[in-house]
Amino acid sequence: MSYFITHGQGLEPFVRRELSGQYHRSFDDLDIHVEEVKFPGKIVFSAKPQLLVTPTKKDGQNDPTQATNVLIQHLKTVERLFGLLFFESDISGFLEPGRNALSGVYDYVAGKVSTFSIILDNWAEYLVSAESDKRNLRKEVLGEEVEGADLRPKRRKESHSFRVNVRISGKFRALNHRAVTKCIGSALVKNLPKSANWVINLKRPTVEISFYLTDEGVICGIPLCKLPLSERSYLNKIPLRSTIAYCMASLAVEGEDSDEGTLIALDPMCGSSTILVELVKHFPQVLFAAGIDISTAQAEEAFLNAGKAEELSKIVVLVSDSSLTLPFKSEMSFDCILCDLPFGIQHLTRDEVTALLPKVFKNFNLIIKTGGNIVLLLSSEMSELCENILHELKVTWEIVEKYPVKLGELPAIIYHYKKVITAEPNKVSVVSVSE
Amino acid sequence: MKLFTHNMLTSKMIRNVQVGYPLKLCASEVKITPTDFRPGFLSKVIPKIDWTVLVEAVNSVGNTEPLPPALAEDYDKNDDFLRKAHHALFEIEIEVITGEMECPETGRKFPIQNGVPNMLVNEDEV
Repeated sequence: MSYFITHGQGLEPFVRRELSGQYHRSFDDLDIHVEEVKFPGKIVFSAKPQLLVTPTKKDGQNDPTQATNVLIQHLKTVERLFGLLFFESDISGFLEPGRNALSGVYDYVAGKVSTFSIILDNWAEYLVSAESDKRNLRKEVLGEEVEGADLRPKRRKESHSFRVNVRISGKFRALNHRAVTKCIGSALVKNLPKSANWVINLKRPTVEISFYLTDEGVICGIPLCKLPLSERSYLNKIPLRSTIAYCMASLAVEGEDSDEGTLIALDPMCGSSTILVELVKHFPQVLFAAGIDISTAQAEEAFLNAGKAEELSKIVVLVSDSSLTLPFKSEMSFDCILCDLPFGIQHLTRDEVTALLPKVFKNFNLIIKTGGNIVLLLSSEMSELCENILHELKVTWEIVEKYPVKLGELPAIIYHYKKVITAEPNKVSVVSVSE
Repeated sequence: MKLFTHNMLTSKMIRNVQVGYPLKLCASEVKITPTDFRPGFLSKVIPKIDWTVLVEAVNSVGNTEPLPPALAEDYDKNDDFLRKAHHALFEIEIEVITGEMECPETGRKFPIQNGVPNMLVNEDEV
């Protein structure tokens, strides 16, 4: 089956690692193959067909509330997952001046329908069966009565319904979004095979069909979950995107043996502990993590989030000032540090940050083991300042990689350092991450 | 605040403090909060714990069965031992209003608020 995902800017290396099975053993069986196509922010791939509904286990028993397909269960670096209908690069012909763009879109989609109508039918069947399997599972395990809905997968002669969702970018922004949506909807409903009896249903369609019209071409698919995968069931209203937190966590454990489970992590400015929650929940290399914040309110929030994520044993939270000596016993050294540093915007002024960082980095250097990963998130604007400070401090941190990302509209960088012992302190070299 | 947390905390940030460990527990009220017992997790955590400090902490809060004074041989296979350790480390909650920790060298008190210990000190103490 073919899929595509959307991802945040700058996270492509992490998505590729995730799809290659680097973070999840369960992906090894999926034979995931990434297509080399150039759609910024999207990756197309194929995977072996899986069970329609793979119940997840909780305490050794089927957990019906979480039954879903393996990809949905595990993908953590992406925004959304779609079942692929088709893609095509370079279709800009119909935006040339002198041509009626909308009728161009209409003709294009009408012409494409025959290439994907069978795939569309298959996805619709898949989703309907998955829904009924889930309901049956709930009935079986939870004893829930089903509310009068017809659970039989719909036969071909009965109608499936759809709703069109269109995103336009680049030169397609010249078009009126609503008009394009209606136009594509029309093109579909008039050209899909009559036997399948597809109708438009804006309120409760069987499937949603998402079209992305971009400068690089068209990609079209069926969203496989109502909410983006970046929304985590165990946390809500978090200030830092869960995907970024997860990617930082993946770097913190990079190079560490995943069967040991003895790493101790520190986030010295943990805020509401988004990063630590992603870390302890998804990376079994970590034994436990300590989160420090100078704000009592933030630390209490962190404590609550750790509880909501059911990781209270693994996350220790305290209120303290990370620019002073850290309050841990001497025998305790940390295997990795993760930190979303203040950007000089929300919490501190730029001058305050400039005064703070050298003390904070000195502390990091004292408590982290040699060979430990240090993962920092900074605004692009602060990055030069940060690099200068590190240079002046002469800490023996080697840069492994820098990942430019975007936090909403704000350009930022994830820095991955490793503490080394080297004859030349301050040797800064960009090396590729060892796999 | 759990005794697991207490086990790692010091008052080192205060000027002139040599070791600042262990912090004295002043808690006349404790709450027991059951949590999931994970023996695999525990057997890896125990080597990181100062066992003597934990035993003393359990004694000082009172109202709980005292711990074995030393690590049992093959403790990682001893279910009974692990359960006792689990209870001491993760299920005893030092209560909010009456909970405090004290620096053994300066007597400086650190409050515990809503489950979170507060290790902030004033500028003149550093």
